[in-house]
Amino acid sequence: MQIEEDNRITDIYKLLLEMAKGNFFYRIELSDKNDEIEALKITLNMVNEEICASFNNQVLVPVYSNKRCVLQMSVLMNKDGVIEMINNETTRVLMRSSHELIGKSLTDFLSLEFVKVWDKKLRKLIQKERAETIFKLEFLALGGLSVMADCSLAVLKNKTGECSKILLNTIFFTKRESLGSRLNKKRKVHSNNSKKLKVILSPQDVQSIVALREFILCNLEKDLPNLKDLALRIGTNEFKLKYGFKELYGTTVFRFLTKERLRQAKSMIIQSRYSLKQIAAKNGFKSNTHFSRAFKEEYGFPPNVLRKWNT
Amino acid sequence: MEVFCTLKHITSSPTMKNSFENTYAVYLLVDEVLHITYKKDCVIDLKAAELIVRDRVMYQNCIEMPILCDIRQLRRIDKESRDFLALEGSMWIKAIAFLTGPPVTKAISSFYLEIQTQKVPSRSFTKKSEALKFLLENGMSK
Repeated sequence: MQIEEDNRITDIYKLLLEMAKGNFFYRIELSDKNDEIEALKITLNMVNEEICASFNNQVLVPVYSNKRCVLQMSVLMNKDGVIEMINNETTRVLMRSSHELIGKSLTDFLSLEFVKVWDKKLRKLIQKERAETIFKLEFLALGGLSVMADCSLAVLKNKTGECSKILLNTIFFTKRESLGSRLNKKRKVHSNNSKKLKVILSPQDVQSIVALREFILCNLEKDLPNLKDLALRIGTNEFKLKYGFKELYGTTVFRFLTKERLRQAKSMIIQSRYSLKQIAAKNGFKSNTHFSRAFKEEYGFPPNVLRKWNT
Repeated sequence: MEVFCTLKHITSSPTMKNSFENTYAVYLLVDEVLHITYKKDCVIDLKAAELIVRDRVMYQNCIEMPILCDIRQLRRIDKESRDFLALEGSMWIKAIAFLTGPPVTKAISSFYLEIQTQKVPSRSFTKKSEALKFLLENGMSK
């Protein structure tokens, strides 16, 4: 009992160390226990998910030493899913040497829950003519840590159209610099005089911008004043709001508003019986034409098509 | 529709009691409050969250309701689902009370309520009576 508890705490230490290195893509394997250690493990996993999403959306609160790097994991397998070749990053992410990985089935490094998913997807994919897909897998790294990722899977076919190899690719974001970027650093140094306007935000500015985002999300039907007035209302200035919002959320205030309005409108089309005109009005669009055009630009199809699919 | 095929009616009566279930949860209407109980050890990803919301919305038939969400058996819910449930998944909800079992599901609900933007009055409780009282104060028709 004590040993089991010690192991769970060791897992937490391992995860914290990986987080300190900037590797937020690891997760701790969970059990069905209902105790404080399990609650801490779940919370840590959720914290990592939030930080990971921030990396993906470039929504990091500016910390000056941050470096966003991409790790690519590539695995080449035979048609039975036995690993034949891997890149260096794969050994790094899974914390195992190439000897431990090559020659083994990929399923040996997947969590139980995802072994079935893998078998099913692979079988389906091999039969298909257009053999490429994207789906989630959870890999087991060494020492109780796991990594969940969207993976792209391609079946490579030979001249006769038979499945010959399977290629799995996925990427992770990390703060640690990859080998490639370290090698290129010197070359880049002369050309990398950043011309990008960098805004320095105080903790109060960040708080105000975060609160503004919350306000927008909860009041999508309301129109916003111009940027200058909006900045005044939240206690900052136009420059900080304009560039600060972009820095934090990767988009402008007004684009964010439109995107979220469209997201809500999409849900309303699916989940309600309101007419499209009513949905446009409820989400702050001035006209039906404007709503339709913006919707099509965002999702690639007009709102009436989505309504037809859902009736 | 394919997505609603998982719906399985247990009882159905013209009175206030009505229930059904899908793969992830059991839905029960009691005195104008919709009780949603997540099934044992269920793992919620985006696909599951979408199904849970669609089934709820279909059941509510465009009527806003207070929701008592019993997550005591829940063990895992990913970020995509948390975001979806907090935003798109909050339609037709007057107020939501989470019933939790400390420490695991209390940790999940505290995190969710603190981090995800809540569009409707939301709180978590360990006692059902307190949760219902909250819904009575925040989510009943006036």
